[in-house]
Amino acid sequence: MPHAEAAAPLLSLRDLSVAIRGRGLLHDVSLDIAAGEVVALTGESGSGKSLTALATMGLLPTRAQISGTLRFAGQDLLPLAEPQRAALRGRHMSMIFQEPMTALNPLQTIGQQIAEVCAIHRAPPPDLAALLDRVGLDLPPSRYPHELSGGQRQRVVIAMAVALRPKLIIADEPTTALDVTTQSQILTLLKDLTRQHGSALMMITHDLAVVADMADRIVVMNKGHVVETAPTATLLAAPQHAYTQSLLAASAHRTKLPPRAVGSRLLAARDVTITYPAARRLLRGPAPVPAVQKVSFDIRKGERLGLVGESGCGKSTLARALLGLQPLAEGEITLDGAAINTRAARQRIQVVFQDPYGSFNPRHRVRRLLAEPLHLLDHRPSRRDVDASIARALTDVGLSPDDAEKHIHAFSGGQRQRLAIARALVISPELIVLDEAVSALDVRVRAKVLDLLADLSAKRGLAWLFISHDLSVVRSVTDRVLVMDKGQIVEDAATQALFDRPAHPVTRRLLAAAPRGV
Amino acid sequence: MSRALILGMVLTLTVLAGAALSLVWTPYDITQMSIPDRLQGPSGAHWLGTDHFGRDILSMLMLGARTSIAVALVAVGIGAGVGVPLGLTAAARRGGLVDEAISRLSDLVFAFPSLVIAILITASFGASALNAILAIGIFNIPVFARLTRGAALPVWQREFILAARTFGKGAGRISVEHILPNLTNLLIVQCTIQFSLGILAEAGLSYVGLGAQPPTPSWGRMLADAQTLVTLAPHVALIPGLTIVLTVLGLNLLGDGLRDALDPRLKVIRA
Amino acid sequence: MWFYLARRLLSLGVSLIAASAVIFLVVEIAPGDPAAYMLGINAQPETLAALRTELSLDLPAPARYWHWITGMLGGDFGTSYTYRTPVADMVADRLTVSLPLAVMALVLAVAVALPAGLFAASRRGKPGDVAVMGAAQLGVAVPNFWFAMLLVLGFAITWRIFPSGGFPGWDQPLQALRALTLPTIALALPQAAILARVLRSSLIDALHEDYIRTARAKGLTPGQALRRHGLRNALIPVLTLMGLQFSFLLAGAIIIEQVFYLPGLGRLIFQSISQRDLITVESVTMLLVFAVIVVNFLTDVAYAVADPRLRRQGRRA
Repeated sequence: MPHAEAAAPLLSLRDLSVAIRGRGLLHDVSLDIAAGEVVALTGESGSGKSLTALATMGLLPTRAQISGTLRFAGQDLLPLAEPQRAALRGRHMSMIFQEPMTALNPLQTIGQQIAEVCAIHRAPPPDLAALLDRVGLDLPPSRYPHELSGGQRQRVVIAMAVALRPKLIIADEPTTALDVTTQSQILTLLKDLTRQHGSALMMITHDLAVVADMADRIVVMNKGHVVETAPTATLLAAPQHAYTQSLLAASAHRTKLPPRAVGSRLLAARDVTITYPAARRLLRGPAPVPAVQKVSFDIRKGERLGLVGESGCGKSTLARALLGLQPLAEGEITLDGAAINTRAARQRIQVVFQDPYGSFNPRHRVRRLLAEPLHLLDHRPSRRDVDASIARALTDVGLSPDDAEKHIHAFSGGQRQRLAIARALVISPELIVLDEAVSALDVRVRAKVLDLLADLSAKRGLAWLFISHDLSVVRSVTDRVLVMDKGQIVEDAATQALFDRPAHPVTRRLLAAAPRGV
Repeated sequence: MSRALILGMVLTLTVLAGAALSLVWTPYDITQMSIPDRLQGPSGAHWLGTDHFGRDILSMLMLGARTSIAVALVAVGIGAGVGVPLGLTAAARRGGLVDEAISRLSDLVFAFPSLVIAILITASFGASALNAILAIGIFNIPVFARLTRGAALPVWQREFILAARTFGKGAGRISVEHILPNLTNLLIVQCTIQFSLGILAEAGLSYVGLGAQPPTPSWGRMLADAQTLVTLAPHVALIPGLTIVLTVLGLNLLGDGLRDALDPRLKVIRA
Repeated sequence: MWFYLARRLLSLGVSLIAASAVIFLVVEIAPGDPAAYMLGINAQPETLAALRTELSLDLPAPARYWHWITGMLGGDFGTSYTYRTPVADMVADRLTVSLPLAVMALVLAVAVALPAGLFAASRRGKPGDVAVMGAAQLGVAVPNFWFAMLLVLGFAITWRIFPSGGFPGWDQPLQALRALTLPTIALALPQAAILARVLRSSLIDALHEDYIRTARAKGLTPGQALRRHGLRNALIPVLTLMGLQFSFLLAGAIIIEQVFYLPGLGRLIFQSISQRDLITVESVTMLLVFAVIVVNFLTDVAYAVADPRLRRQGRRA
């Protein structure tokens, strides 16, 4: 969409720098957004993209020091006092945040919270029913936030943001916390509303795929600097800056798995049913709802199996059951015939979780953390053997044996996820459960961790269950995929076949909603 | 280190040092009464003056500090020693009958303020310093049990605990190896808070005669004795009171300072 | 909500039964026979036996427990060993002093703490905050009975504005209120200090919530966001604390009554202990514990009313 070059941009940042407690976080950021334009700000975590948005809104913490110029609709904003900035917010510029679950006041109805935007700017009260309808919510305004799902709450936040038809809407990772299907609906909604109202949209995302078919221009940020700005098509086709190139390469990266080589049956799940809550009480609460219903499947030796589904479909509960952490209401899970919660079975199955920061006891050193699974061995190995297995595991994941003496804070998120894999490898298991194991990682780090997994599959002949909500990742590291919905497995097919010919409506919905690769 | 933390440490160490010194030396022997010297104001001979029996107030305060510290310390020890394991057990058995029983039990004890416990014990066994220790200590148990349970529950949800469970470790072992070390900061801070509350409670109990009995010197007792003399010699009431205030203030500053230095997000119980 | 309240009500009942059993047991294992104590060492065995029958001391313990709690349910707290009058009458008499004192102190504490906490939180880190929190830090460290002595020294002895102790009775309402003024202040201010500190930190926690940022993105200034969205959320934990504090107010009132020679429940307890009037100790302690348990139950009810997440629990199921 070409724009008149002569007209002054709606928003103009020039050499904007932000420091908190003397630490520079934004350095000479300059960017323009024209009226009605959609501009994406992208970069990895810590690139300063959210900070740029907060600076524009005037929502930086009070101790932040800001310099440069920030012009909006011809007005210089930085010299303005807080009441004048507040008068602009919600009226002429508004913002949508990443985490819809906590963005709303739990003690007020959604109607009260939407109406407040108008009341605070002395505008006539909104037609709540019409506004809720416009954001696709068929709910009475008297509902409280806790009665709504994450996607519904995000629609409420969007309703607040568009209520007064502001000139600029800033959306800070508005879909990251949501399911794929919800994600695409929210993006379409944002796109439509901004077009209808003629608002400009500043879209902040770490995922280029999300904005590829939506943004007019893309601004790439790294470590507080703007490294490249270009129209979307140009940037995707011919990135100029080395950082942008590496980012795009990582997004397009496809991990090469060694050829499929499966052996005999390793794990067998039969009619697995899990219900919440299991607690006994004097006065019973509502009857338990099954989280997983009659699920049966096998994992063979060396097989790389995927498990996908939206959040709440029961895949995490099932993963916990496979690890022997979740009592079953019915059915059984066995590993080579041994019940899953026995020591014999535990020795052969290990796990890597999503959160690289929560996966390790922050009080222990790497050696102690990595040695923990050795607890499962029948005979406590000698110190030398322990050191040798730790050194081997560290080397296998691309770290140094010297890292064993370090504390966990010394490692970045990607390195921690390597450590988590190293810990899973220490007792040489045959099966690893990877529960959203790369979901929290930046795209370049993710590509490296996936390559590492492929490498380990070749070296150790590992089998894994790769659980993710992200279809593109699952596609590149699995031979076969299970699709879960409402506690049941609705499709079970070879990876290529599933992506080429999805049979079940849920699978098709998931595939349709997934952002296309760049 | 913040200035508040330093001030807190100085005040606390001064009181501890005074109490320790009294084990070997005090300026005067407080068992000797000297009626001619009674109710003197502060002077070179008696830095903080004398009481109605002519005893040196500084010496009394040093000995009283020993009582206060001993009572508060043992009470915190009882509270943490019983409460922390209970809290850990409740968290490990979350939602089960043991958890329910421990929670209801601590609710029940919370309904008996330490003064009421002291009244009951005194009614049965007579007043003594042991009585004060028990009363404050029993009341401390649910404080630590609730705190520990509340702080342990989110740790149980952390992924490294799930991982430890897949390594075949039992609830008891996980509680000791993984949960407890992640609660130490919080427990240290809560201990200083309960310690300062213990000093206040001991003073209150001995003021109404439910704590340490004469001749054991205690700050609350000194204030009770001073009450009728307040018009004649205000320093007899002012000085022990100020000592309590400075001691408690020092401990609170120490607790707050430690919390800010260790982790400002720690959620302690203040009541 | 009804499910939640029913559970709380059940646990209220269980707590009351357990508390009464504990109190009865502790008093039961007390050494010494109240009847022997009342009659002195020269009592005739027959008189002693008669008195024991009169006081129902000859019944087995379970029977006496049953007698005691069923009596309490009907408002009969037993008969004082010392005064030979119904304990209920003495308690009712003393409550006319203790109850107004505790209620006035609670009201004063909240009235001081609420604005102080709000003021400090809205000026976080600035001189106003530092001054208020410094005063609160001091207030937390001051023993209330010593503070009471200071008040007497200042306002009753030096400036003779208020009486230094005693209670004229409610026949002279103005004098009665004057007599309760210093005790109320002595009781309330240290509690206010604790409350103000908790309110401040709870408000500051609320300020870090995402919904405050959402509110500011809508165009609210930080002050407006604090008052419209932060305050009600911050009050929920403060409510819990107030429930807990009530038991401390009761305990504090007992001590404060000693300083001001007020004929309240506290004095009744101490007299009863020294005279081994165990039935009175038992019943008054039970009454105190009953008050604490009921206030905590009421806090839970208030909680359920204040928080829609609890209020509408039934609807989602």
